[in-house]
Amino acid sequence: MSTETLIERYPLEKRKVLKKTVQYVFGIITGLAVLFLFFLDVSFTLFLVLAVIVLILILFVVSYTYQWYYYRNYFYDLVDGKLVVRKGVISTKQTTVPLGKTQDVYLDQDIFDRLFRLWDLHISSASQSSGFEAHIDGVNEINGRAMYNLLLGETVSAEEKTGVKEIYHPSMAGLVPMMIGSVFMFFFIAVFSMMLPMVLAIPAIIIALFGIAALTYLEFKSIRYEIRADGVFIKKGFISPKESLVLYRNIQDVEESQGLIEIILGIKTLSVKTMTSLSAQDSNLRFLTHEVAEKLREEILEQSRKSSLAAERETREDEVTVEDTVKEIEAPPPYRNHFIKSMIYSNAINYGIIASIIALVSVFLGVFHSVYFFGGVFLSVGIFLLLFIISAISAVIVSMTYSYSVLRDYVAIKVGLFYIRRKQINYNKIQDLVLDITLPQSFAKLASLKLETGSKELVQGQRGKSAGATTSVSRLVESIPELDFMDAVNLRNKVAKLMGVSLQGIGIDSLVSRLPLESIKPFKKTLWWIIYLTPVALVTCIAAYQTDISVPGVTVLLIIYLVVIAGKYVYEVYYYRRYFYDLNDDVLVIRKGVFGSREIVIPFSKIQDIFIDQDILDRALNLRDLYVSTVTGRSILNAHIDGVNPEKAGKIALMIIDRMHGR
Amino acid sequence: MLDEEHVERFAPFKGSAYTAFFISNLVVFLIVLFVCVSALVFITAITVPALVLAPSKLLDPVLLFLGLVFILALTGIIAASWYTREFFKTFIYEPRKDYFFSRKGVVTPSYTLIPYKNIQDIHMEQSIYDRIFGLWSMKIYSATFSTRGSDIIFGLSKKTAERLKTELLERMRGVKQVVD
Repeated sequence: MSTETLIERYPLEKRKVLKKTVQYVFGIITGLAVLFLFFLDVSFTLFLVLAVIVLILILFVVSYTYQWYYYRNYFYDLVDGKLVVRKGVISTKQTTVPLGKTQDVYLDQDIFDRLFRLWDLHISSASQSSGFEAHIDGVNEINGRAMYNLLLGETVSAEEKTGVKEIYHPSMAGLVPMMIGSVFMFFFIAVFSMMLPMVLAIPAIIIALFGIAALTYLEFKSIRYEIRADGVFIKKGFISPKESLVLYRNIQDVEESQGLIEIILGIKTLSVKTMTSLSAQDSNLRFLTHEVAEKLREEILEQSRKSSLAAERETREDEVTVEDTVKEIEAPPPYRNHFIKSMIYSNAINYGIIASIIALVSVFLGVFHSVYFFGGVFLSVGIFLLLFIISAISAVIVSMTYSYSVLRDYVAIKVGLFYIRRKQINYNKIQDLVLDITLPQSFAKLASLKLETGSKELVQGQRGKSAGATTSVSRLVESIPELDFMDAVNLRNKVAKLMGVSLQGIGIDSLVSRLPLESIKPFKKTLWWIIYLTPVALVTCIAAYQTDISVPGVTVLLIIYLVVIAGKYVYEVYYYRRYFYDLNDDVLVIRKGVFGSREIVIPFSKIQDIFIDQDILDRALNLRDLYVSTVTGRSILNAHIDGVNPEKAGKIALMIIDRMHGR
Repeated sequence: MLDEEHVERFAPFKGSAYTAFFISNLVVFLIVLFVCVSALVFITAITVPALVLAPSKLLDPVLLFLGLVFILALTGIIAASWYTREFFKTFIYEPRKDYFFSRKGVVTPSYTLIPYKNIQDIHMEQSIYDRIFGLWSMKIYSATFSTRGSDIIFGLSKKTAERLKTELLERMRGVKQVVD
């Protein structure tokens, strides 16, 4: 290796400074123009025009200087397989990403980049921040590609060197949805052209029509997918091109989706999802025919399974590989989903309570006048029926469209009527298993099984690079809902077995009996309510005392207050008694809940970090909360053990750390 | 139990870290104190108007105001300096055998344990405020979705930060890495 740093070998282009400045000043000018044209009613005097020009010049100089310093301070290098990126003029940020942690690599251009012939290189790990901090922007194409290959070369091992195996183009039917998308742009331009005189408007509209059609066609033509030795390569964009490589070993799950138009045209979108937020918006393979989608899906799933198994085998050489154990097990038969049954129970309980409260009130009021009685009964029955019909229809639709299958290599879940989604999850990518029982489900003896992979979803309306993506917390496409309770347990155990973890020994001499929660925990939980409720109760009592209901009113309020506090305490005692946690060599299991329950199974290999904290009352009563987090969103909600003393918290934390390292 | 394992500090915090932390705490404390006192005065003015609104014969209002400001500032300074001292006394970070450990917080301390194999990337940062005091911060990220997926160690000199980074990267390499 030469002693040259990466930035010396592949330098940033000087024109980046100009590009950034132009981009910035252009933004300001657009803003000013909009402001002057639409919002400020000013006459254009010579002075004003001069002032604006001077302002823009000053901005240009200031921003050029800033950008020049930024350019000067930019640094990146590759040291021992770690990419180091440092930037910042006044405040400095230096990011170090070991290339082994790279999730996906992107090369892209926005419209200004294209004008200045510059490229941006993104290297994203699974952490929240690396997506927007670890990127190198402003290199020329040759250097960009060279670095892209260099970084990938370091990322993938020698035997899986980059090589294109197959190339796919989107189906021609894909032009239709793209053209539909462009129609809006055309209308927008057309409306603006109408403001022009007729002589100009008609040619403008014609030019816009052909221009947009041609552009859409070129955009469509630029889409290309490649199955490579190390990952899926996606190239798209004519105006602002983007090339991305999603490595097989990082693919969490593969999802097929079809909107209404896509259903009519017989095409599909295939999304390969990793843990990065960038992947949520950029890793869609759109406009595939059914055959191509199926072929690609199987290929990608197979490759993803192989590469992560290979990585796993590296770490645990002596153990039986997951692949071997998988082959012994037949695909278990799918258990029935009882959507209708669950719907009836949840209606009876949720809406039944609301309706009976209304009915009770109307009976009470009926003493005064029969109109209240009949009106109330009519209202409660009406509300109940209306809600019942709505939920019945949705339950019927879900039960008709939902299906799942547990196959040898992956779980597939399909859902949706007009927007169909089918998700495939390889077993080794499942982060945690949750067995969820709600109150109505506990009456109906049903349970839902949820699987989560930690792939990122786009949040509607937040198409940003930083906070734009999230992991799903509760979605039908990642769960197998409304199973018979015993079926759910069996299925959970089977999936766990397919994941390569065993639930053996859970519940026998459990951790909760060895290191139990502190018995003061229910009191602490109730204390919070007392702290919050007492001021409210006091203020209400004072207010009530000053009205004419005075003494009886205050008494009633006090009784309500005491009943609520007592109720909370009883609830917390039950919660405390039902709290369960245990671990064996493979998994951590946590179960809690009074009305219904929620049981989460987390394999130790999926745990990312451990966190212990306390609030002020915990501190006073010597309690600690222990959190375990995986890459999913749900684990944060459920995977914690709260209310143990510091010594136990430390012990449990170290036990988990030991298990994570196979001891 | 986690504390007892602690043997020695990785490195002392930089002297200017105390000053920087003290100043930022002082600002926060003063704002909090100011809000509390004004709320108190406001409530008193509503409930017992005579006390606040009636011109006092004993005290000059200007003197009263200055006195109040003095007491506030003094309380703020004492609280901030106590807090700063306690904070750095109890702030522990330490690369241990399998995991990176940190303990942070005075009244309600929290503990973070990130196994080396789960560390995704390491960030060394210097904000404008840090820059004035010549300080650096380290952010250590795991792949979790929570904000707790990162651990922030601040108040380091550049040398210590570099050393910590090297140490972490060294230990990360010691374990084989699988991200699923």
